Amino acid sequence: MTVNNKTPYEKFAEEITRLCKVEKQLFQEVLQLPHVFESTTAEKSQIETYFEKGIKNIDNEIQKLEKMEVVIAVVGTMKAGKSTTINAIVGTEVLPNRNAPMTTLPTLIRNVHGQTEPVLKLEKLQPLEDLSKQIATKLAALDKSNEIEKLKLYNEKDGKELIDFLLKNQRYQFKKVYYEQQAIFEFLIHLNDLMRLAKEPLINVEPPYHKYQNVNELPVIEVEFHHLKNKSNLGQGSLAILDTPGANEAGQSDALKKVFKEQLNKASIVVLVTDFNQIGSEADEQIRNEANGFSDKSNLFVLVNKFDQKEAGKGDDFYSVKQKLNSLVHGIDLEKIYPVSARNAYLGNCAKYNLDIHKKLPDFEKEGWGADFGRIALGTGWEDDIEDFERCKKRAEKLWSDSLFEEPLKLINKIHSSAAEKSITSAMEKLITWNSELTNKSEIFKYFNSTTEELTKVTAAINSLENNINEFENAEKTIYQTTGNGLVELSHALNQLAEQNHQLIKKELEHFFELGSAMEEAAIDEMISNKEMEVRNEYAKEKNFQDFVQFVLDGGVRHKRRTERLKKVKEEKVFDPDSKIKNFSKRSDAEKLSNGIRNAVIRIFTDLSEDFNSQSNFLVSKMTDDISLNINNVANNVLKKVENELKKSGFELTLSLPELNLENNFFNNDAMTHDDVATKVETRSTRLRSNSFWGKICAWVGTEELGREDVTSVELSYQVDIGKIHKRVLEQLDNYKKDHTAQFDNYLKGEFEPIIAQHIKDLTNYLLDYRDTFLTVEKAKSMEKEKKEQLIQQLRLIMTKNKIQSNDINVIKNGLEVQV
Amino acid sequence: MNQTVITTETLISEHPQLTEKALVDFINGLEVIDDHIRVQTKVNSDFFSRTLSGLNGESALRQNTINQHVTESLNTVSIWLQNLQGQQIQSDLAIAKVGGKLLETRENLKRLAHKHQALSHEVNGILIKIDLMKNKHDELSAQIEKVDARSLATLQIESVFKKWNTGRSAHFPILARLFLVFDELYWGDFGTYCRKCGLEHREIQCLIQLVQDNSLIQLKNDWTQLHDTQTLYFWEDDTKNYFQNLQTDYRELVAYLTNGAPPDLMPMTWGLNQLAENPQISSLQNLYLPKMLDIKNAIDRFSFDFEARYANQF
Repeated sequence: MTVNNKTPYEKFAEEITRLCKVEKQLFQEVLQLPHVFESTTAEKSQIETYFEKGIKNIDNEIQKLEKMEVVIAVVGTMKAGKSTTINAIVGTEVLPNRNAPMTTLPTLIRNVHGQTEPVLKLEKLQPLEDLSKQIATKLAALDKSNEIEKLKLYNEKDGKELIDFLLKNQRYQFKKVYYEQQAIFEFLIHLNDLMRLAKEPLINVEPPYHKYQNVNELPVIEVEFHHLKNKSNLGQGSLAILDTPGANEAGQSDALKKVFKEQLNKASIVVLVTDFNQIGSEADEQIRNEANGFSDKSNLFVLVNKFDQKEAGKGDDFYSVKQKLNSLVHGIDLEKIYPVSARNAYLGNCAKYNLDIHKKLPDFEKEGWGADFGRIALGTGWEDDIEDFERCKKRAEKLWSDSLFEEPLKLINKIHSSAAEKSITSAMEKLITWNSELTNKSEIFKYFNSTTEELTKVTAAINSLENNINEFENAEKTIYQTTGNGLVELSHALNQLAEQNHQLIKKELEHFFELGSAMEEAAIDEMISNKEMEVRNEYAKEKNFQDFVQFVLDGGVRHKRRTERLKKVKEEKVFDPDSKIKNFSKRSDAEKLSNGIRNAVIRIFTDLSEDFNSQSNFLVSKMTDDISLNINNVANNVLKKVENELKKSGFELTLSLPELNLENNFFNNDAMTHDDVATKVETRSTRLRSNSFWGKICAWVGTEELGREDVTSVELSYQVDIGKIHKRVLEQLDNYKKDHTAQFDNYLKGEFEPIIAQHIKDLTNYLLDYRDTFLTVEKAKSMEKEKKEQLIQQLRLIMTKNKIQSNDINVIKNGLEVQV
Repeated sequence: MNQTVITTETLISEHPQLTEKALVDFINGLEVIDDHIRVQTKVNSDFFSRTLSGLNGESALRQNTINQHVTESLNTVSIWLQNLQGQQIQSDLAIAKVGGKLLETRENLKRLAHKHQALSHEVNGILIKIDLMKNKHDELSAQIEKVDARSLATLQIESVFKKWNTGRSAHFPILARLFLVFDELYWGDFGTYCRKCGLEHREIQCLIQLVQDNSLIQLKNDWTQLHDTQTLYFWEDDTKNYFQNLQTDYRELVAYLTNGAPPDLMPMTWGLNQLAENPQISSLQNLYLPKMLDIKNAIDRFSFDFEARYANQF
C-alpha cells in the first residue's frame, strides 16, 4: 500500500502549480503560432508584449507557490529575551544568549523538515568581506597611532579577538555554510561584532545593510522546529523566523530604519518581545516606539516575557498584565498579548524533545540547558532525579504548559496556514483571469480565417475599442481631485486636532505652572528662613567686636544695616507668583517639575501622534474605498459598453477587470522621542559675598555692590521657564503637524497616486490589448490560404487545451471552496 | 498480486475491443516485411551498385539474405492470412486496416514474383488466398455500409453501460472502468458511427452527451461507495492501490488497451497505462495530467482523450 503524506494544502498547491505551468505553456504556444507574430519591425505588438508579460507573471506566481514561506519577524526591547523566545519557538538553541547587544544584521531561521542539526547558510558574502577589509584598514591606522585601545569592543574578550584577527589577516573570510552549533555561534558573534565595530566612532563605516534588503539574502539557519516535527498540516510553505533589531531601535541611521521597516512590513507576523519586569518603567517608551512603528497592527503580537517572575500578591495577574500592555500599545487587541516565560518554554520544549527522541536528557555537564532544566523543573536535589524518565517527562510537560507558550504557538500555526491559503487563493484568481483572457483572445484569433464580410466586424470592433479607451483617462482626473480633497481634509482635521492639543498643552502647563509656583514659594520660604537664620548667626558671631565697632562708628548704623540686610534677603528672594520662570535652589526640585512637564508633554504628543495617524489612516481608508469604487464603476461601465458594442459586431466576449490593488500603507516615520521635548532645566549662578577679609569689611559696612568681585563660592540656582517651554512645545506641535501633512502629501504623491496611475494604465492597456488582437487579425487578411489553415489548425489545438484547462481550473476552484 | 488464471475467451468476451486492437497491432507488425521488399528493390535498381556488388561478392551474400528474408516474409504473410481467416473482424477500423494491408501485400508480392522465379509458384498460391480475403473484406465493408449505423451505436452504448451497471467491471479501478467504456465504444459500433459522420455531427454530439450522462450516473454510483462526492478525488494513489491488488491479467489488459497513448494528447489514458504497467511507480510526472478530479471532470477528461484519439487515430 502506497502512503502519500501530502496534505490537502500541499496537493492543491501542487495542482495549482501544474495549472500555472500549463497556462504558461499555452501562452508560449500562442506566441509560437505560425505567421502571427512575424513582425518585420523591431517593435513588438501590444498583444505580443501581453503574452510575454503574462509568461513572466505566471513564473512569478509559480515561484511564490513553490516557495510559500511565512516569515515571523521577532523584535524585542532591550534584554527582553528575544533570543530565548526564538530558541523557544525553534525548540533548540539556535541563537547565542549574550550580554552584548545582538542582531545588528537580521538572521533568518527557517524550518526544514528532517534537519535536526542547525546549518547556517550565507549566500551573499562579498558585501561583508568588503566591510571587513574596510574595517581592517581603519584598524591598522588606529593601531599605528596607538588608539586601538580606545575602541569599546577592544575591552571585550570576543571583540579583542576579532580586532586582533582583522589586524593580522586584513580581512575576515566568511564561509558559505557553517555546520554545528559552535561554528554557527562563532559566526554570529563575529558578524555581530563586526557590525558593532563598524559603528564605533573611531571606525565609522556604514555597514552594507542595504545590500541585504531582500530577506532571502540574509544569513539563514536551517533547522527543524520541534513543535512542527509531526505537524505537516500547516500548508505547503515553510516557516521562518526573522531575528531583527526592529525598526525603531536607537542609534540606527534613517536608511537602516527604512531597510528594517520594509523587512518588517513583508513579514506575515511581527512578534514584539517585552519584559514583564520592565512594564511601568522607562522601557514603556521603547515598547511604544517599537509598536507604533507598525501602521497595521493586525499582525502584531506582543509577548510579555519573564511572566514566571511575577510575585504573588502584587496583583500582576494574567489579565492585568494584558491590560497594562494594551494601554501602552494602542490599537492592539487583548487577545494578541501573551504573558509567557520563554526560558521555561525553551527548557520544557528541549527536554520534551530529547525525552521523546532519545528517551533521556543529555549529559547536563555538557549541555548547559540540562542543568537549567533540572534546577527549574525538578528543584533542589535535581541531580538525583534527572535520570528518572517519567518524572522528567512529567515535569517537562508541566514546565512547558506553565510557560503559557502553547497559545502564541497555536496562533503562529494558524496564521501560517492562512498565509498558505492566501498564496493559493491569489494564484487561483490570477489563473482564472489568464485563462479567460486566453479564451477571449483565441475567440478573436478564430477570425484569422474570416471572409471579407466578417472582417468588417473586426474593423468595427477596433473602432469601438478606440473610442472607449480615453474614458479611463477622464476617470484619472476625477480621482486626483479626490486625493487633492483628501489632503485638504487632512490638513483641516490636523489643524483641529492641533488646536485641541494647544488647549490641552495650555491646560497642562497651567497646572504645572501652579504646581511650580507652589513648589517655588515653598522653596523660597524655606530658603528665606535659612538665610535669615544665616544672617542672624553671622551677626551673633560678631557680637562682641561688633559692639565695639558700633561704639566707634556709631552703633545705630550697624544695627540698621543688619535690619536692612534681612529686609534685602526677603526682597531679593521675593516670590513672584506671575513669573513664568520658576527658580529653584535645588536641582532635584527643578528636575521634578521639568520631568513632570516632560512626561505630560510626551503623553500628549504620543496621543496626538496616535490621533494624527488614525485620522490620516481613516482618510486614506476612506479615499481607498471611494477611489476603488469610483474606478471600478467607471471601468465596469466602460467594459459593459465595450462588451455590448463587440456583441453587436458578433464577438461574445466576457471582459473582466484587472483588480485595483489599493492598500493603505501610510505610516508616519517621525516617531516622537523625548529629546524633542523642550523642558530643559537652566542653571544660573549667583555671586556670593566673599569670605575674604575685604568681603567681611564690606559686609560690615553693608555695601552690597562692593565686595562681590572676589567671589570664591557661587550659588547655583535652577530655572524652569514654563513660558519658554510652552512656546517651544507649541512650535514643536506646529512642526509636527507640518511634517505629518508633508508626509501625508508625499505618501499620496509618491505611493498612492502612482498605484492609481498604474492601474489606469493597466485598464487602458487591457483595452489596447484587445484592440491589438483585432488589429493582428485584420492585418492577416492578406495571408496565404495555406498559411491560414496551418494557423487555424494549431489554434484549434490551443483552444481545446484551453478548454480542458478551464475545466480543471473550475474543479480546483470549487474544490478549494469546499475543502480548504 | 492475484494470479488466478483467466482464459483468453473470458477476456475477449468481456472486452471485445481486445481482438480489434490486437489485430491492428498485428497488421502494423507486417510493416517489417514491407521494409525488406523496399530495400531490395532500391538496391537492384542502380546499374553501378549492381556491378559493384557483383564484383566484390556482396551481391551473392545479399541475395542469400534476401532469399532468407523473402521466405520468412512469405511465411509470415501466410500465417497472417491463416489467422485472419479465423478472426471475426467487426470494427470498421480493423477492416479498413486489413483491406489496406491486403492491397499493399498483394502489390508487393506481385513485384516479388517477377524477381524470384523460383518462388513464383508459392507466391501465386498466396495471391489467390489474398484475393479470397479481399473479397471477404469487401463483403464485410458492404455489410457495414448497409446496416443502420446509428442504431448500432445506440445499442452499443446501452450494452456497454448495462455491463458497467451490473458490476462486471467492478474489479477495475474507478477510472479504468470509465476508460474501458470509452475504449469499447471507440472500437465498436459507436466508434464506427463517429468515423462515418465526424465528431462535429449533431447526432454524434447527442450520443456523446448520452455517453457522458450515463457515465455520470454510473460513476456517481461507484464514486459514492468509495469517496465523498463533495470533495475532489486524488485518483492517483487510489488507482495505484487498485492495480496493486488486481489480477495480473486484468492489469495487463488495461496496460495493453491503454498502450501508446501520448502523454500530452491523451493524458488520462497515459496515466492509467503508467499505473497499470507499474503500480509501484512513485508519482506520475506529466504536466497535462490532473491530480484531482471531480466526477464531471473525470468524464470530461476521458471524453477529451476519446476526441484526441479519434482525431489522431491512435
